[in-house]
Amino acid sequence: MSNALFALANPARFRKVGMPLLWVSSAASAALFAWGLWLALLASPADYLQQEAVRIMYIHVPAAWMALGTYSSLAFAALSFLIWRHTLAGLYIRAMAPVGAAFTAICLITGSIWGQPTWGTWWVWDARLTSVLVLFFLYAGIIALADAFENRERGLKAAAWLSLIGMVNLPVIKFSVDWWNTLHQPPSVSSFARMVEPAVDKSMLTPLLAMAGAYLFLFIALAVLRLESEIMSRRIESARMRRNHG
Amino acid sequence: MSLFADTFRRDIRLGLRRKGQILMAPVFFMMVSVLFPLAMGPDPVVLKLAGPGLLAVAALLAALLPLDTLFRDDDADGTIDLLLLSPAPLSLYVAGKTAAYWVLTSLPLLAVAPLMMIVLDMPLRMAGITLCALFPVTFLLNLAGQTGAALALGTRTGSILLALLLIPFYIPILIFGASAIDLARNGLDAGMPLFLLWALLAVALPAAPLATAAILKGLNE
Repeated sequence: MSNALFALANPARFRKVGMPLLWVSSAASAALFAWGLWLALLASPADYLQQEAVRIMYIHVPAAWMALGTYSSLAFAALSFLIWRHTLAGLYIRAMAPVGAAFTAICLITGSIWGQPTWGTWWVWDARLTSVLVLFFLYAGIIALADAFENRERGLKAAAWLSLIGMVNLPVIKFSVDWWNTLHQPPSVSSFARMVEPAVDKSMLTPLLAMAGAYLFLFIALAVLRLESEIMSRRIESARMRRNHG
Repeated sequence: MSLFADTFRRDIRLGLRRKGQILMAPVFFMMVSVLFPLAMGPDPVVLKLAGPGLLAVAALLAALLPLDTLFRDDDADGTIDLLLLSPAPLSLYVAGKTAAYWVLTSLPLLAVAPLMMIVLDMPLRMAGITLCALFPVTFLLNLAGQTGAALALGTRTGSILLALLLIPFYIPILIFGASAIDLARNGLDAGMPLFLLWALLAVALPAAPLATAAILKGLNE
């Protein structure tokens, strides 16, 4: 595992693996989005209580999973950047923080649209909602910090430290609905006991998992694409420096 | 340990020479506490509802205000570079700086807090429990703040960036601090948020200086 990761630290080798991966995951994401959206919007039943509004779930829940998942990947990258000086890991934080922020924004916006017909309000200061908002602020802080320094490397390091410290927020978000009795419902899918006998009916679970897969492949495709452009912009910068100074 | 005491003594002495700066935090705290009742009207019902939260928000803003200067001078004149070269543990230097910073900016704030309770129509017999909440709140704000100040050291955009960085870490402190004062204001048991605040302080007191020292070291190599 770690050997394979170290091999990928070489940007040239990363390109060789990355380009096919980009095509495969883009295609998989597009196919799953087509299938998942068709299931979610047309071929799945409306909820007996929420009626058609339940379809927002297929956009909202995978976005929430990805918002948390992207943050964990940032923290893991921060660890390997700070400990093993993994070159790509530093660039990964810079590349993926905006993507995580976008997932979090999608989660917050769709949640708010979903809340209007079901809870009767756009926003409540409930533990889950507040902690996801805090996650959005964390992403914003990482993005701002990575760009705030004249020295690129220093910005990457500071952003890595912040991602690592921000990890304390992740368990709070995950367990907020179990710890506090709030308006947001407890998880219906996540635990292993629930996997065997899910609280969600199969007609709704299949489109949900299809959408989750689509989001996941989108995440992989975006990660490769944005890392690639980070590597390129660094190469352009150093070429420019070489031309100007010698 | 002498590094802690030396840093503490030096920063206190430097702070006392610039009296204007020491007064800045409590004056700002008082200004914010006075502005809110003026904006919302002096209705005692409104003040009873909003007073505890206002006190916590005012303390937060006052702690944020002078934060970007915390390491700035020591970074500019090379003190931090020299400490990094020496075998002395940087965390003790950081702890000394935070302690001095707390004495210079938060202690005067706690001193004027009872005055602000009168302004916000809170009974003075609550002063004890309010200070019991504001003490860990100000200390936690400073401990989180020093970590943020180390992260943002050397950036061009100073305090706005610091505010953005620190909001996620300030929010829990604000929630527990305000709810402790609020529970006491309504005659209820404020134990849970108070214990949580002091427990957070017990964790952050050793952890934050170590993290800040690691960040200063990591960013300067």
